Amino acid sequence: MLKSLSAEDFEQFLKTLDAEDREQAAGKYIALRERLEKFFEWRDCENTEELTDIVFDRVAKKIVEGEMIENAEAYCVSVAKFVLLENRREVFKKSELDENSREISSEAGQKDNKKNEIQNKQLKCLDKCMAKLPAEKRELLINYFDTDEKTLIPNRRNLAEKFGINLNSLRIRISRLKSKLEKCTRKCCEKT
Amino acid sequence: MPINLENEKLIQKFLYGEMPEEERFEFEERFITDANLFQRIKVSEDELIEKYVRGWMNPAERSEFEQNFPTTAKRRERIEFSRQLFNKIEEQKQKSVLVKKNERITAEESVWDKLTGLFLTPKTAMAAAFAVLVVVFGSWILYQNLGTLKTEVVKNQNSDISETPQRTFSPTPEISPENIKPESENNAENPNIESVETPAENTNELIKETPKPDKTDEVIKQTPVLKKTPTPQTAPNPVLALFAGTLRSGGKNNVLKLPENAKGAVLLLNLESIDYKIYRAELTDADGNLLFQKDGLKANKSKINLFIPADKLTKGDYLLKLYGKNDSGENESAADFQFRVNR
Repeated sequence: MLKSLSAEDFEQFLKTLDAEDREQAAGKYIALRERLEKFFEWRDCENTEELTDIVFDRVAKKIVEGEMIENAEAYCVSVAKFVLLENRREVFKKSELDENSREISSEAGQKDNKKNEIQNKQLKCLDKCMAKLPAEKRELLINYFDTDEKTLIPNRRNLAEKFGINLNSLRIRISRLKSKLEKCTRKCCEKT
Repeated sequence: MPINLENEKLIQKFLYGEMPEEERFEFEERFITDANLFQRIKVSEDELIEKYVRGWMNPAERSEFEQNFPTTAKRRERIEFSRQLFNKIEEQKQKSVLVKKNERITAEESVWDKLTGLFLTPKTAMAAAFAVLVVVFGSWILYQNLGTLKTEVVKNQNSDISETPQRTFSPTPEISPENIKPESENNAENPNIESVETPAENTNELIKETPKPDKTDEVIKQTPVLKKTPTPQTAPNPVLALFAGTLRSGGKNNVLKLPENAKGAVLLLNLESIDYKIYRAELTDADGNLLFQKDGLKANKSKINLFIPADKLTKGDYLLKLYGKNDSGENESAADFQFRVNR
C-alpha cells in the first residue's frame, strides 16, 4: 500500500491500471510493484520497497492532480529512473559521511556469533515455510532440484513432460515457488 | 522474447551490471512492461545462483560471478537462501524415503491392533464404547425397518402380478438413453403391457417403497408413466478424461469415439494442481489451426469440465492447450493435452 496517499487516491491510481475491473487492476498493481522492486534491486539498491513506494506515491499524486496518464506502467518506469538517480546521490553522500566517521569494528567473534544466530533462525523459518507448502508443490520442488549438472536438462524436461507443460513454464513455476518461499522465510525471520 | 543462448548472455550481462547505461535503461523499460521478459530474467537469476551454489561453475565463471553478482545485501541473502534451500531439499528427500519405509511398516500393523488400541485409555474407551452402542442400536432399527419394507414391497408386487398374470420381469442393469427403447419396441416385446392399466397411484407407491434402484427400474419400465419419456434424438455426449502429462504417449491412448448424432463431447481435464483461479482452453488441430476456445474456466478439485461442440471435432488428432490467468491478468501455459477423435 502506498505511504502517504488516501484510500481514495489509491483507488484512482488503480483505475489508471484498469478502469473496468478492480480485481484486474489490483493484480496489475501487485505485478508492477514486484517488477519495480526488482528494477531497484538489480540496480544495487538496498531499500527497494521504500523506493517503489516513492514511485507509486509520485505517480498517484500526478493522477490526483489531474494529469492524464495513458500507460501507467511506462509512466512508472520513467519516474523510477528519477527516483533511482536521487537515491544514488543520497547513498553517495551518506557513504562519504560514513567514511569520515568510521570506527573500528567490534570484535570479529561477536559478528560470527550473530551470523550463526541469524542462519539458525533462517533455517527454522525455512522449515516452517516448507511445511506450509502444499504437498504436491513441495514434491515438485524436491524433484526439480534433485539432479546433478549432467542430468539437469533431461531430468527437468522429463518432469515438465510429466506435468504436461514445457520446460520453460516449469522453470517459471519453480522460480515463483522459490520466490514465495523466500518471502515467507523473510517475513518469518522479521517476526521472530 | 524467445529463449536462446544469445538472450541468456544478454540477461547475464544485465545481471552482472555489464550493460552500457543507455542499453540498460531500454532493457529495464522492456522488462517492466513485458511480464514474459521479466520472468525470464528472474529464472536466469535463479539459475545463475543455483549454478554458483551447487558448484557447477568453472573457476573463471565463479570469479566473474563473485565479482559482479553479490553486490548488495539482498543479493547475498538470496545466495544464502538458495544454499539453505538446497540443503533442506536434500534433507527432505532423505526424510521422504524414511517416511515411505515407515508407512510400509505401519501398514503391516493389524486392524485389530488399532481397534483394541482404542480401549487402552479411559477417554477413548468411553467414546469407543458409546460408538459401538450407537452402531448396534442403529443396525437393529435398520433391520426392523427393512423387514417391514420388504413385506410391503412383496405385497404390492403380488397385487400387481395378480392384475397382470402374464407379465414377466426381465433384469435391467441400468437406465441409460440406449436402454430406454422407443414406445413401439417396448410394446412389441411386451404385448401385454398395453392392455394392462396400472393405476398411477400404485406406481408411485411402488417407486417410493422400493428401496433398491434395480427394482425401481423394473417398475419404471413397465408403467405407462414412463412410456411418455421422449426417446433421445441424439446420442449421449461422450466423456473423455485427459490427464496433464500424458503427452509422452503422443495422445494416441486418448481416443474419443464420437457418435455421429452426438451434440459434442465433454473433456474432463485432470490437472496436477490448481495453480490459477481462471483458465482458458484452446483447441487446435494437428496443423495448429485454432478451432475452438473457451475463457473463464474454473477448476474444481483439480478437474475442469470442457464441452466441445461436435462440429469442431472431425476425425483426427487434436491438441488442447490450457492457460491459467496469473495475478496480472496474463495467460500462462498451464497444461497441454493431446487426443484423437474417431467418428
